[in-house]
Amino acid sequence: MRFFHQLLAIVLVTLLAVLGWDLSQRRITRGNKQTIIYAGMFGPGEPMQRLYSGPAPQLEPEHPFGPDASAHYAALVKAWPDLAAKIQADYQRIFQQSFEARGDSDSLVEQYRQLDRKYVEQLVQSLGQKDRANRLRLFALFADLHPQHDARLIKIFQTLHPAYRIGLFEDFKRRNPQYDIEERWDGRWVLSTNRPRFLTGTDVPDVMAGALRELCILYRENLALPLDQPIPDAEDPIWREKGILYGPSYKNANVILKDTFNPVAAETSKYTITDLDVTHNHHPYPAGTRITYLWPSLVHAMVVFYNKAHFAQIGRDPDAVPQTIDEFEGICRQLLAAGIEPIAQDGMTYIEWWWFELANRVLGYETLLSTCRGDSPRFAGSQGDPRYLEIAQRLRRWRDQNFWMKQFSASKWPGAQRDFGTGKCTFLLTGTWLPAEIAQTRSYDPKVFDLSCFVYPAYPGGPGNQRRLTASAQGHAITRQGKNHKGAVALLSYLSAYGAELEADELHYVSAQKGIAFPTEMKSLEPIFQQAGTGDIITDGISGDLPMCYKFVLLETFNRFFPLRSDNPSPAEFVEELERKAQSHYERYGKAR
Amino acid sequence: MIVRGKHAKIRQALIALAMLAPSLLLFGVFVGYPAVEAFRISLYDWTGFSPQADWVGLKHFRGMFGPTVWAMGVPFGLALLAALVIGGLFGRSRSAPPDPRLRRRLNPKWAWAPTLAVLSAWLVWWLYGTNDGDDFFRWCVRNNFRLMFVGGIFQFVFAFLFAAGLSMPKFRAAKFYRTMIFFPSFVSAVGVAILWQRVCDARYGLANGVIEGAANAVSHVISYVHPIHLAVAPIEWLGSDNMFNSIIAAGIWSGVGSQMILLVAAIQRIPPTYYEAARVDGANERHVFSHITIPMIREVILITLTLWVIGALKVFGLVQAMAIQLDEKTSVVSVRQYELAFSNRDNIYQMGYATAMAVVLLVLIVVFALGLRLLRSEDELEF
Repeated sequence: MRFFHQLLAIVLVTLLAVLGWDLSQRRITRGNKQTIIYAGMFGPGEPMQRLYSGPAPQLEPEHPFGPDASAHYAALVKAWPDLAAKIQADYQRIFQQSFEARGDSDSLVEQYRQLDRKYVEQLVQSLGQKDRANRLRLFALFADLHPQHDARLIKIFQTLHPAYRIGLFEDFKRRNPQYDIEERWDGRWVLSTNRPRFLTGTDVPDVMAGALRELCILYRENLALPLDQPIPDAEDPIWREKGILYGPSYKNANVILKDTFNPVAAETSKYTITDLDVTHNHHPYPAGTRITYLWPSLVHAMVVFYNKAHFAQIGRDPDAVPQTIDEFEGICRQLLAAGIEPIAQDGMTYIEWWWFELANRVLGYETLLSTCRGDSPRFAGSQGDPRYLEIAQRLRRWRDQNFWMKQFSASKWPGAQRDFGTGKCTFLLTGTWLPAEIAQTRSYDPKVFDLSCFVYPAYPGGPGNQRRLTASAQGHAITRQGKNHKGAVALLSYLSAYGAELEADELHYVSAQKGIAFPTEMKSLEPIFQQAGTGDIITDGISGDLPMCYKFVLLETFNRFFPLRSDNPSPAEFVEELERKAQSHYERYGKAR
Repeated sequence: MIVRGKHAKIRQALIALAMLAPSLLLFGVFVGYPAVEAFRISLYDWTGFSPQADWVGLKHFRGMFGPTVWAMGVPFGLALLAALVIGGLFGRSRSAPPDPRLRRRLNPKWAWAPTLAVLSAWLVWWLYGTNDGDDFFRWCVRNNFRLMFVGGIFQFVFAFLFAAGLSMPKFRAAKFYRTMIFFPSFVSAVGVAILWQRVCDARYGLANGVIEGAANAVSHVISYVHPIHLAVAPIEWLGSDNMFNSIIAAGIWSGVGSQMILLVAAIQRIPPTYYEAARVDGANERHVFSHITIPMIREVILITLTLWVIGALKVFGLVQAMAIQLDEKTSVVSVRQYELAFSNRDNIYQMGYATAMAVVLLVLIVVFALGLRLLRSEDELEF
């Protein structure tokens, strides 16, 4: 018995010691710094995607430093002469040419000399490998700032997104020593991962990354701070009187944060308060109020990407994009005649967008929304709009004429973008995230794959603006339960000021910030973004406005209509099924969901 | 423990209770309470982000089963009650003990049979005889059953054949083959899914490659006699029609090893003297197999089947990872639950409805596990 008591005492003391050590860690490591809890997900280049896609065949990987970065090589050699032999040998092996030192500057040499030895060794090691990650730019941006964080900084040399953001965080902490950032990379399901924290109010992140649509639950349940509305209990007078986004921007105190976003980003970051939010979630704002809850960093638009090389192959001007649906169909037929599969498509991923975009052109988004909300016109029946059937018939014709690639029904994401990026198909309807996602797998031979994009073609005679874009914003929300609102705002302001260019440049994203150049592949969208008014943009479409109808009515019916199946409904049966499913949905959930 | 003296029975009961208390407490906290809580949650509309939840009663169950099934609630309840009564009255033990007091007691095993029969009839009617309620959920349950029956039969047959073959005394390199067959069981569900996606890819996959290669080889051989080229259209293994079959195949591939190991262990536990005695008595291989091997490993067979049934009804990882995008032909209950409760990209967060599905799934598992218990032998073999 005595032994048992002794054992129990040892276990208890050990547990208490571990607990005490754990609790003290935060205090010891962070000192008096205020912690900002950042909950992010992943992005392009995540390992899963590369696992599916594999490397593009027959492509010589590019080196991130490239042979032209000789100034950096020279500086590195001068700063660390004992590593010079390895650096030069690696250079020769990779670029098949002997190393010539030129263009080094004293300041660059000094920067390299200041770095930690261990860090430099790892840098030299990574320079001796071939891969396409653009590490040089990142190095130039961050390495000189943080020699003390050698191990951490190595992460920025990995190709994985959000590695670049870790570098930005380091820089933010250097510029703002009062803050520390606790990073949590919670994967794609960042909200679900953090749900217990919201429910219990424990360790709730201050900042959450995601798209407007994905973070919607935070706005609906009043868990996020409105960014452009007064916050009565805020300490900051500007926040109290006008709202967070009326504060000064990070780089220029004369410009308010709100004015740093481009018009499309500003528009697509707003959430419209619904009746349900008011009655059920007790929102303080009246239904219909549009509130900015998302701090945008990127904007994604649904566009048709195309391979200019194929246009040249069929004797068409590579820049002569189709203006109308009929012209688009004509090009598809030409491509088929030339033995090229026109549209890259996965069986059940983004295929619905062909229907949505066509419906937006033929009917106009407002009509489509009205139908989905349960008002007139209906999909079928006595109040049915025949244009729904026309859309279904046209899309079925496309499928029957093999516009979509062979075996598309069995293709799983990212099969279509893999085939598109390697020059097997000509068109791909998807979001502007595509260039970033295929950066590792696409062909860089312009004769095989020359990427560009255009807005979904017009339907002559269709209502409204036929150049309307469906767009969605990606960014961050500031949580109401978070404990460091001030730090969260400082961090997001910094990311907007310093991260936007990097994201556009390195990751080929369309930035939410004004004045950031568009990636080359999407230059054609730049004027649309600059001139867009409220009516020119559809924010998220039905998936944003009526998520449950989107999932339970539309998607489930589309999945039976589009891919080849033994029980495919005809176009007429398809619209009838849409109507039947919609009616049963309204009975169950009501019309506004 | 023998307790004597005054109030011996009460004291014995108290001691038993005290000894059972830790287990009961753990069971109550980690199994009982969550199960009751799950049922409570299924009666609410709840996103799971804030404590705010709306009481909706049985709305989720009503929506799931549809008005036809709901309207049949009373007749079905009466049938279930009748089945319980019939089971109670007639489900007596075949080997009734001589004590009349004990004879009057019901044999709980067969008392369940009529109830299970009524539940099964109802299940078949709901799955195949009705068309209202949540279509997608009904399809998911059907897919679970398909995996359970089709996959179960194939997996068990393969596992049994492998086990029987590898247990033969003269089989060479048995350990090597056993390891090779067991190896896929080490691979995670996601790994299996990715591997099989690669195999089944319609454009670049191994399966179609092999078929095409075989067709070319045959064409080549025949062309010596007559010029011919056999063209085989690529099969869409991952298309909606075939996807679930591919999932079943992947499930069998990854699960057959673990079932085989259990069966091999059971077969090898049988004392060789039994076989020797049977052969001395003139039994041939078939007799030995059917009269010695099968009865002796019956308990293990039932355990493997029970594990498979539970696994097939709860399957998640393999389907989620292999199907990527799901329609009603490829989804299963757990995946649907996950989509509704956790899939933040869809912005649905139907925690209450998803939990109602979990309650139904739990009932199904209990019913099938009870059904399998009925097949267990009353007399345990000891050897």
